[in-house]
Amino acid sequence: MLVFNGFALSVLINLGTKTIQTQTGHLQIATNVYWDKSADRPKDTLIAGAKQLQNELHKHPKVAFASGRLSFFGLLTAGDRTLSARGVSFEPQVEGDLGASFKFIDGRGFTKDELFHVALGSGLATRLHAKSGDSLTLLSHTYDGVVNAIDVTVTGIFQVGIAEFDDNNFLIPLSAAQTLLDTENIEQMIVRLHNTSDTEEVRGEIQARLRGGATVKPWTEVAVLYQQITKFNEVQNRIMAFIILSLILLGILNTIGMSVFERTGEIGTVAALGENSRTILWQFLLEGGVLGLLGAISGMVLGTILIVVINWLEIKVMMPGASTDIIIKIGFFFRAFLEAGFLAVASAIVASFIPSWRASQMNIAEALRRNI
Amino acid sequence: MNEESQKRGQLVVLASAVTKSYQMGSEFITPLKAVDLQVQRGEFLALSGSSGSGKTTFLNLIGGIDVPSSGEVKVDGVPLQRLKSEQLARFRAEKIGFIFQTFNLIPTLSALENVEYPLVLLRMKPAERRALAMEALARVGLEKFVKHRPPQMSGGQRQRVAIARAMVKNPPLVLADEPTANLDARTACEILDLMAKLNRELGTTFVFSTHDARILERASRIFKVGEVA
Repeated sequence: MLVFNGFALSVLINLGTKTIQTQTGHLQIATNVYWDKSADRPKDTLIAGAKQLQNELHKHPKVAFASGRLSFFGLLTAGDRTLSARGVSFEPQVEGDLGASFKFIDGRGFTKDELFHVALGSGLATRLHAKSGDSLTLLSHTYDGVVNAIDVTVTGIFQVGIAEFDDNNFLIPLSAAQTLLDTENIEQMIVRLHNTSDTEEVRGEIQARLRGGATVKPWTEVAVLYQQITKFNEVQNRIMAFIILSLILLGILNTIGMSVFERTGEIGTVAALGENSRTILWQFLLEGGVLGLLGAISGMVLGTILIVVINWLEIKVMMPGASTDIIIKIGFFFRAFLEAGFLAVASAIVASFIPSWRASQMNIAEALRRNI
Repeated sequence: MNEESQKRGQLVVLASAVTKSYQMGSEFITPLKAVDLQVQRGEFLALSGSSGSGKTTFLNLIGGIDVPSSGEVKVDGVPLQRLKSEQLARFRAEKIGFIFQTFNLIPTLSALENVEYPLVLLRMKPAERRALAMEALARVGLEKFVKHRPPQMSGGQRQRVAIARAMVKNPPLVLADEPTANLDARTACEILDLMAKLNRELGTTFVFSTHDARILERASRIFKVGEVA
């Protein structure tokens, strides 16, 4: 339970961090028509005067940076190969070269003064047979519906580890995307914070400052894959907890049941000597609780050893939806320890109740006869 | 007259028309039928009868660990059938000492701790109960065995510990169910002598069951289960 929870929480935290760094930021600001997909024309979803908003956000002490985003579908041509892909814009001026967020397996990210450059996802680059330094043609429609094209140079090939992203996405500086799409506006303002735990607080503050027509959403609401995996993890955790709980219940029920059976004569003796039934009930419940506690403590020790060994072995696995192997890292989470401990002790006490009650209600004369 | 003498504290046990029946499978068994018994304070009374005659059942009824189907049992003036389960437990803890055929010591406790146990139930302070337990063990000649656990002791020694446990709270009545049945003849006599000595010296009332003729000879009175007292 401890190892399983530690693994699941580690995967979730890693996925969350990766999602924030590569896609959603901590907060996303966009027009209401963008969020509810009710715009008649694509250009109506755009945010105008984004620079002023960005400057205001940069003054907030908890904000690391705010960056404008445009995302679009375009055709990338490399030699005789043309593929459809999704372009995601970045602002190298505020976000740096992206090296901290993206793992570049070939080439590098963007420098501040590079304009018509792209970085390709590893899967996309493979299908295009493209490498860093290659020249590509990028074709798309402007927001007014006019076909436009620009020539771009591949600065690097990146991997975020999420297959769906690596296979279909390329990164492009915002100014290049604006040139291609013929707009000075942006689709979204991505806000990265210094601490993830400040997300809700800052979201409230930004929302209060925004004029009507725009809404700020936290990353947890926008990251679909993260939401799905979190829900899946919750269900999986419940099933695991149920199975473990059943095992503990059966184990303790059997142990205390056997203990009551074997000590029937002893129970009869202490009852005859004047021990009252309530005390006998509590004694067996306590015994069950202590068994559960000892089980929890030894489970925690064993679990800790197992976590250390698994982390030391650096086992690589391919997770569903991932584009690269990941090394299994199991975290030590106080919550996981607390949950496992509570579950063990509580289920042990619950399981002890039936045999303890039977012991406390035993017919004394009958019980004494068993001692012979 | 009986009520009067019980009030004066002369009568420790008063059983009137006690009947006990229970179901075993589809059959109803009545081991005790309208039994009357009076036990005076300080008596050393033997209950005799063959196996299955109801001696143990009768002792259980007197000791408040079972309830009669009809009739009345009063011990030290207290009508047992009027007590609730918790009150009965308290009554047993205070008023009755039990000695069992199979000794019934708690195997994980030392001799001293076994003897202390009834005093724990009476919420006595540790120092006080330790002193009383030591005294009780000395009285049965086991002062050198205080730290021994039951599995490390002989049958006779275990029964002596059981006697010390029954006597430690100085109860008005000690009930012994076949106390010598699991012992060899010599040890059985020693145990009976010890019980008789404690009866004489401390004035404690003993009611014990046996079907051994040699043991019956030592009783001050013999009550054949089923016969009029």
